[in-house]
Amino acid sequence: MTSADTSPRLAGSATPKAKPDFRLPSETGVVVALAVLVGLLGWLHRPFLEPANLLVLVEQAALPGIAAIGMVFVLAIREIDLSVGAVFHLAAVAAAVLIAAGTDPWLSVLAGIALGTCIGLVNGLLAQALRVPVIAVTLGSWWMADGLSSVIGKGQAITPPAGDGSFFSTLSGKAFGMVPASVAIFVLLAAALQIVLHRTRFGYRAQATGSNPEAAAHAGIATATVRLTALALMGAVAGLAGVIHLGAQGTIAPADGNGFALFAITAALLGGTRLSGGHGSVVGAAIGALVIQVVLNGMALLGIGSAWASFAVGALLVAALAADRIGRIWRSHRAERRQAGKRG
Amino acid sequence: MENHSFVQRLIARPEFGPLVLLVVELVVFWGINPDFLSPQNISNILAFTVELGLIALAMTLLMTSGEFDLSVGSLFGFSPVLMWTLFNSGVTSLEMGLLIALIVAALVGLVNGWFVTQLKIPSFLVTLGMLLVVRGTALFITDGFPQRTWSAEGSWLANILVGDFYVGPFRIYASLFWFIGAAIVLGYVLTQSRTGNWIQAAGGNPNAARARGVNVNRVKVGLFILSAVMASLAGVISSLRTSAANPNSGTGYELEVIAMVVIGGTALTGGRGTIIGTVLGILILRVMRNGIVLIGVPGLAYNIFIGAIILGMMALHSWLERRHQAGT
Amino acid sequence: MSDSPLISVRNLAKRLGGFVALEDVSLAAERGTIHAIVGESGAGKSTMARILAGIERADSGAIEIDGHSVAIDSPSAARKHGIAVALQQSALFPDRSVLANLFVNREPLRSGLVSRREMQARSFALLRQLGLAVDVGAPLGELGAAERQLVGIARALLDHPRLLVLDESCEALDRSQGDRLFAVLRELKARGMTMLYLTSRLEEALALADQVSVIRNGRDVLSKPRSDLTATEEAMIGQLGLTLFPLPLRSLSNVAGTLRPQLTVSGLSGGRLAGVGFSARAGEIVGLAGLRGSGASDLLAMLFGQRRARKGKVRFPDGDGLPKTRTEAARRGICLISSHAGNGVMADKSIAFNLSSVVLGARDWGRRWYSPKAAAERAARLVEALRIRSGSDELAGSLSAGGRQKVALGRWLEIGPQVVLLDEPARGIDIGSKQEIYGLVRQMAASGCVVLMHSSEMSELAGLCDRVIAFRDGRLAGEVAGSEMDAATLRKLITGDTAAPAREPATTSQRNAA
Repeated sequence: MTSADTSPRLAGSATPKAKPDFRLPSETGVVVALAVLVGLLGWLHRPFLEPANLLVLVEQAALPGIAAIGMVFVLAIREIDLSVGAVFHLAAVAAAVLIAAGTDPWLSVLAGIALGTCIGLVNGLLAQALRVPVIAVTLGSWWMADGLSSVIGKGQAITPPAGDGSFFSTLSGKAFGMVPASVAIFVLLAAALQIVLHRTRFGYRAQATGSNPEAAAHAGIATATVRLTALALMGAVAGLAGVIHLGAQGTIAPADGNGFALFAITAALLGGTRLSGGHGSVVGAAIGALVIQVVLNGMALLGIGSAWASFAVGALLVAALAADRIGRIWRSHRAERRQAGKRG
Repeated sequence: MENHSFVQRLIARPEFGPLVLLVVELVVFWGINPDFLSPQNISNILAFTVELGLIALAMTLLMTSGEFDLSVGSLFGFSPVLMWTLFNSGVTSLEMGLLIALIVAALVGLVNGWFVTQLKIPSFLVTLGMLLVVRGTALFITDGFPQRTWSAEGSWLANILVGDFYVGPFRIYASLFWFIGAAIVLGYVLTQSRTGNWIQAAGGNPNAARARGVNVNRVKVGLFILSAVMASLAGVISSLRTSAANPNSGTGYELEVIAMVVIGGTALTGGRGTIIGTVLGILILRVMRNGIVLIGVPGLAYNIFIGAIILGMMALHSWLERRHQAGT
Repeated sequence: MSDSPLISVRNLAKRLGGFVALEDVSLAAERGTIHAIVGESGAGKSTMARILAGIERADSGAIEIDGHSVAIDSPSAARKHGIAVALQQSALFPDRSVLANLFVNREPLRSGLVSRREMQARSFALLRQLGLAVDVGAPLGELGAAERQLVGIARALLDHPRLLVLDESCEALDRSQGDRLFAVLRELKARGMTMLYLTSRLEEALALADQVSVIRNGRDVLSKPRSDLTATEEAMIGQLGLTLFPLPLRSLSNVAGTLRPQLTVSGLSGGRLAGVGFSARAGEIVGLAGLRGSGASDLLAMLFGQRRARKGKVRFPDGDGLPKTRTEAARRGICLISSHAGNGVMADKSIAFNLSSVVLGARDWGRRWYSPKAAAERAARLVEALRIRSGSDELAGSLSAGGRQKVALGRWLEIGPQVVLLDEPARGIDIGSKQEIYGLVRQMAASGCVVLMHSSEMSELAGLCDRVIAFRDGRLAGEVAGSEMDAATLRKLITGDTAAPAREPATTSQRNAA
């Protein structure tokens, strides 16, 4: 490394790199973790590897996974949305109430998603107008959305009549005869949003805004619009998850959606998205959601009490954070060494 | 002239908005249901106020230094569980159990502080993880069932913490005095002591504080320990008063406590905090929870009001701040 | 014992990231003297101040106090050795009161509680001496730049140090404030205090110091008692900076005179600015001279759509008025390169990513997709033009301050800006990068841009600009062009030390009073 650059370089000449640095994609860690966990559980408990079980697992991960995908965009702009779970719930409740009142199910579902989008927009507008972080605003809107859905639902589960219409049968059905509809949506959405984040102008702007908001604004990026879009996207995605839940389960119970924000943040961080903003991986977040679900299922299969479930998610979160931090220290260390090497 | 500027100053204070809100709340509830101000109801409000209030006081200092603690709700549930488990299994006396519970809580605070200051992970997420870890542990100890508690009547510990007596028609718990004492002490610490100046400096501009020789990390770790110990103490007081120790108690308290602090005018971003405001914030939310039921609104709507108050107060503070800046 | 200097520094070196801030500096300050250290911004002065304050640690070298080697590894260690430092950008707390700022971590206690009365009593005389007549209970954020600087200095003085280190302490002060400060410093010297006065202005050093040292590029190049400095040496030190400026393109300004005015500003008010009017033509570099807080920065921010103007008319080359947002400015080819806005780059993103930020970030036309390949090609072109000596896939954060500034400038090149606004573009960066940035600025002017440049370094303006407009307290204080344009004239204009005799008696009486 140190001997590479002894020949004098012309100032300004673009020096071709002798050997491009090989950089692991940011999703490597989470893929390895998933493989190791699945392998370990399969070895400890053979039935775990049965396709039926694995499909159930993916289906369980799909809804919080969708929320995690949206959270990647919020984290990428260096914000945190606490209201995800409440928005999920409120969208489902609103759709359920509309269906029960006789509205066309598909229309009700659109209304639910639109409601989620609106809450996201309002979060963004308030944060902008009050000049406070999104986390603060969503602390307030979490309370409000939570209260609203329990008032609308009167604190009880709502089961709208399935009746006619294709909504419930579609969402509780399976694509290709085996893949649950929610899983299909989850996978498609993850692929689409991965492209949006890394290959579109909006994705570029979101990453720039999160990386250094002041520098981004100074380069003429309309950071306010970027923030609003990202938060509206989060709201829409949370609403979508809510109505899928309603369609697949046929009912929405008071506790559904609790802890979604935490699940989503943890999954996103596991997948290589950084808290410090600017970097996100949608695919990583989707895999991160699978990792969490594998841990939860594995514990149940091995007979470890469900009391430890929350312990495990908490420990995973802290571990992911510590890994992120240590990784950053290591990277800056390496960059410094490279600098020193260049001079020497 | 002098008088005018005094009024102006009063209005510009961050505590003014919450004070008005509290008065309005009291008048409205009282107007709709006169029972609201009955001695029994007032005693009731005060009894509940103390337990969340103790946590909110410590949280005010922590948030002034620019950090959060979300693990307080789970410590509120965990500490009494630990104390009663130790006592019931005959390992320790009740007092010793309390002491051990407080020490464990202090360790939890220390770990929070270590992760935040040494690994530089945002406290919001560290303590969110800790919330789950502590709650999981509480559930594990108890298998998820409420702990059998021994009626604490007569124990000197119970008397000191939650002994009750009547002042006229009002039933007062000893814990109220603990709360008032803590509010006064912490209020003085925040505004009048050197530690308080450290806290405000650490939250306002941590690098500048370091450059002046303030040990920002130590201040923060100390406050994490304080908030954990206060949450644990509040949990024990609550369990002694109700003679119950439920591993699930305290769920969601963290957000309510933060709401109280924010409503009182402490900045979420650190640097500015007020204990008087927090006390008002505590009263606003407790009065709201109590009054809403008394005037016949379904209790489920409570959360909507909290959310609205949080957003409204944030709007007010941001407006005041901007007007203040525009005036210069 | 008393033979040894109060403080001596030997072979001090410090690297910041990939950038050498101090290479090898040795100095010694005798007791009861004022030792001025002169150097351009970027020469390493501030780094030295931060090392002496215990905020940063030197990579190598030794610091001796009273002839004993000491380790200043924390701010409290610096304090223990009797060192107090007033940093260039004093680390203050805008939310807190002036009094609280003055006594952070030194609060006087009375029966365990902080005594406000005691704080007032201790600071009263000093504040009056410095001419700081402010409400000490008001939040610091309400004060102007000059007052804030004085608060930073007063805070250091309240430590009653043996060694006082002042970094660019006159930067935001006008003439009378500067005079008062100097009087206070001289009085403290008479009482035996030792001072290191770090400045980029030779005239300040000559007016105040007993000993003058010059540092350049992180090395000390000269150190002499003030009285031994010969006129030629003085001139030499004063001229050091001038070699930096690219001269060849300068003749262009003569041609520019025949072009029609391109950017006209009339009666512009807002922020600290009150009724400012001037015009600038394409092809010339117009300098905006002014102290911090004089309004020149505000003017640039308004032209860029970052601040709102209260009133006034502006006409840009494209025929439109002020942009409402920075996004609009960028789309119209108006760019601002500033040393204020953070570091101006996204440090955890690649250089290529950064260089695309205007093309992709601001414009709403063109491709909706982001292609890393196209970004890399764009970057390859720019990296060459900017003489950035790192690969475009390296992180922008790995660059030195100068490299970052070049990236912040380079991202605008791709859109071919019409109006180039520069706010202290070369502040705090190494000399090599400075030179390259000056060259780029010249090139942009030569290619037909309107260029406005604000700087608080007068030699920079005198060296680079075709003409200079001076600002004082938000108003125009004069315009200089051609041969009268030198650092001393500009300095007089912006500090209010005009030849007007009316001001003179006031200054002297203050000097006597202090």
